Amino acid sequence: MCEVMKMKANFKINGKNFEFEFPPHAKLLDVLRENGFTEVKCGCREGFCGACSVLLDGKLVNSCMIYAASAKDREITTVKKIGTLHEPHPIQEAFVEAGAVQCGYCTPGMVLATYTLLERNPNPTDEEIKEALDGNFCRCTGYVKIIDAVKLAAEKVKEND
Amino acid sequence: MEWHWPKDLEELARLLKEEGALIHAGGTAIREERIKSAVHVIDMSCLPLNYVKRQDGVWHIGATAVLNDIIDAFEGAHGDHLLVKALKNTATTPLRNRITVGGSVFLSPLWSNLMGPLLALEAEVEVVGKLNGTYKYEDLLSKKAEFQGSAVKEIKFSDKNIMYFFDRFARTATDYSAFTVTIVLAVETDVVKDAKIVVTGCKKIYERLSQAETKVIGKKLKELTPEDILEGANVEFADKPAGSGAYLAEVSKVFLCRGLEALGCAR
Repeated sequence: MCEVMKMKANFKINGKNFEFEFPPHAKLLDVLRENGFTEVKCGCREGFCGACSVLLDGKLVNSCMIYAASAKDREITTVKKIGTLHEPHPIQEAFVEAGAVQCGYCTPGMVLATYTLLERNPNPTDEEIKEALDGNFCRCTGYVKIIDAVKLAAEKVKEND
Repeated sequence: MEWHWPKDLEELARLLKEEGALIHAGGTAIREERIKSAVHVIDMSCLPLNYVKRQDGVWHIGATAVLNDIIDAFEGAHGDHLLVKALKNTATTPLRNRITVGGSVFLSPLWSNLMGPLLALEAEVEVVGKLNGTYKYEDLLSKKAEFQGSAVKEIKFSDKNIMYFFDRFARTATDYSAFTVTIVLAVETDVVKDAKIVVTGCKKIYERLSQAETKVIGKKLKELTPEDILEGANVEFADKPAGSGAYLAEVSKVFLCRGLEALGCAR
């Protein structure tokens, strides 16, 4: 049996430094999940569904489409940096209050997409919300409640500011 | 296999000489098997090529600028621009945060929607490596194999005094384009001084409608109908999931007519 060659690289994830070992062709999604960041969900593996969304240097990306080696020394943010079960972010509260969560599999990606949208645009229109969430699919709720949640989140974030 | 992160163009040029080198920019179009079979993977992300700027009326876009950065830069400068219209319909927000202009130019996939606009704008591409120099984008497209061993450094074009039309045909908003239609006109006091009409996604990858371009140059658009301009223009398509070749040919004519009308042709 041939041994798979591995490489080492450093990442800053949710503000902390890590060194991981992985095969040179490994995707960021797999490296994150194998090292405990299971809040990053594995969906289509083709860059369509957005379940695996993370922020790479503050930009929303599909971690299934990124080779881990190419994210070396970069800053990665998962949904756990945004808020936790006991200290949820206003965006997460809004998703619960608006009934925009059913199975919850797409929710981490939706929350991160909403986070980057509201950072750039605190008062998005329905059209702007649809554009910003165009890479995040939900197969349970439909999208009406998700759009409602983003609008509610915008209000909550403004109140918190 | 080894990954490399060159920090300057000299280091990049040196690495490009290595046997079995694969260039990685955004990486979204590189399959895992391709990475596995490469001896050297050259990651472009540490190079100082992430810029979108305008100098003396010419736009310069660095190879590692991602599509959303380009949209932001052009929206800031122009609001409405051909590239904004084309790129906003490319892939999805997270993918546009990763797809680079260099990769899109080098691979020129139809779904990036860049090919038509860059051809119509007569863009030039500066490359580093084996064929170090500046080339017409059209030449890079037609001689792609010769550019192996070279990497895109920068795209440049002028968009002074242009009117444009861009549209694409797809089954749904996030579907790949079946074809794109780009019309770029330089107009002075109602008279067309220059014209570029490009259809992509057809049998020949792209077609310039040179005859139609000739018909409008030196004329006032309002004195011509789209039918006059497009008479004899036949773009052939292969059958695709979005429709048969014959159907796509008909729809592309409708898009061309619509574009010429939008730019001021007689109805």
